[in-house]
Amino acid sequence: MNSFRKIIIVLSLLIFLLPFVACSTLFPPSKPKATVVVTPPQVELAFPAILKVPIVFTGTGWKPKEVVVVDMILPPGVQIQGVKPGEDVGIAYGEADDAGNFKGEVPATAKLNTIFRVGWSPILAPDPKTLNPIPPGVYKIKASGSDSGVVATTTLEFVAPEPKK
Amino acid sequence: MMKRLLCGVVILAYLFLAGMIQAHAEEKFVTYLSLADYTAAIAGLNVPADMGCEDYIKDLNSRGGVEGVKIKFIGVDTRYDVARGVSAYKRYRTEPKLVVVNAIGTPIGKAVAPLATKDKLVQLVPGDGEFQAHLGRVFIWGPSYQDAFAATIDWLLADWKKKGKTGMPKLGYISWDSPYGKEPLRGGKEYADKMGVTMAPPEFFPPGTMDHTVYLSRLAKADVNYIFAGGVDPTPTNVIRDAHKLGLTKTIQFFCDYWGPTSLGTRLHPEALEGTVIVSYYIRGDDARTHPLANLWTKCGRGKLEDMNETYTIGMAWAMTLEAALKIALKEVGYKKLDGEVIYQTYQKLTGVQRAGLQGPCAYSPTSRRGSWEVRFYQVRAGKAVSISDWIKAPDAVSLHKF
Repeated sequence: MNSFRKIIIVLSLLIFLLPFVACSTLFPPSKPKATVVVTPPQVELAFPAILKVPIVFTGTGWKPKEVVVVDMILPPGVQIQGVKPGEDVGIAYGEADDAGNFKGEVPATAKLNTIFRVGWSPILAPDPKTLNPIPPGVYKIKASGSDSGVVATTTLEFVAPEPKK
Repeated sequence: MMKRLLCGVVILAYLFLAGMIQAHAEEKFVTYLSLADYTAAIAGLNVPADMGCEDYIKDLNSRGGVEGVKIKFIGVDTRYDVARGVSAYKRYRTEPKLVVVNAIGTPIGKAVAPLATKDKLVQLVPGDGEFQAHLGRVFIWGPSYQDAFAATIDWLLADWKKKGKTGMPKLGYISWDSPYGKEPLRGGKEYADKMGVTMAPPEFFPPGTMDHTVYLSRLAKADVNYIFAGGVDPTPTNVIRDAHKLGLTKTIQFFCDYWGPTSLGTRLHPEALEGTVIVSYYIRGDDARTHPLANLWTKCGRGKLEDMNETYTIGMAWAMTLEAALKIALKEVGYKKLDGEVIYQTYQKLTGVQRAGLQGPCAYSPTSRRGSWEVRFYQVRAGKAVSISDWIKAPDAVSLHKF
């Protein structure tokens, strides 16, 4: 009888705890939300001036020490050499620090290869005759954590250069 | 009647399912990822190198692969752009049975290294001695850049002596202002000091420079006897073209590293390049084009053999190295357990593996990340790279530098 009571108590306890266990599994504590912002949010498609404009992505809430990859999502019809249709194109990356903050700047090669779709001469020089900037507009940006798989988004606007007076 | 029909349907469904399972079971493969440059700065050498790799893999697969395991080649055009290289790696890192990632280009290699290491893959990079100094999962293709530079110093000292000169020669260095351009001196400079060779202050120029006369003139003013010209072909070709215009090639002996004049450059400026000495870890010129494996070039419809760039052989060597590792790994653990970690362990067991003489014997081991130790010297003669030495073991210059 005594052992029967013990079994009942243990079972009751288990039944009581089960919803809590289930809830913690189904609804794990929310992770800190990762963010990404770009400075400046608007960039003029002017060459070679763009090479002197730092385009910097910063973010918070990432897993410490993970590499954050910043991709630009290409709208339909925008083609970039070396990028298959439907694929995003990498434009920056950075490593999150111990506090989960990351910073990544768009390198000159990405400005040339991706934003200006330049062709290269055989001596590692961009060929100015081949400059073909992407169409002006608002482009979606996706930052993703290589370890956490967390994704944050923002936008980056490219504007046509002001006509020369 | 209905019973028979139902029975037939069940049997057919069973056979279909069994066939599917069988077909799935037969698809044994591992994946090789190339973070390449097919359309930008170093495409001239990278395209033929990846052709060699892909053609060798295709040929191997057509022969049944390694113990029935085939290699899936994935080549991504990163355009020598680090951001694209990292993004492409992230996109393809989950490919089934991905075991090796080849980062073509020193900057991409350095950026991808922490990710590939976390993913427990084998990563290949060109010649960065840093990865020999800090042993990890990153393997270099041949001897490090600094080892090759040190071998060149040995060569020039012998040349100096052979010419009956007294005292010690003075060496100039010119290359891209980039991690690649500076790498040979990280250990190479220490080796020059050790051998008593004085070096003029090195000249670095931005990639894309059209005219190198300013840098070359400074080296000439420093009274150098030899100049080591870095850069990926045809950059070194253009440096020596400018030196030729200045009349420097008459009095100064020029050297180039692995990426010095290939058929790409020697065809452009044969006169200017005449006499240039190239230190190479892989066979070049007619040595490459008359090698039995060069037949793959024509077999795979790449064109005439005389148009084969010698870097085609580098790509074949990458594939042969993986083939050798697969043979060992499959024997030791079988296909099911095959992963990046197993291949990493296996790459360290490839010491002494031959790759049909395309380069020296493999030097990978638990303490070595060098693809081989040997270099060979070539000289441009009448527009062709002609072998002027046998394979020579390069000195260890990595250990001389504090990384």
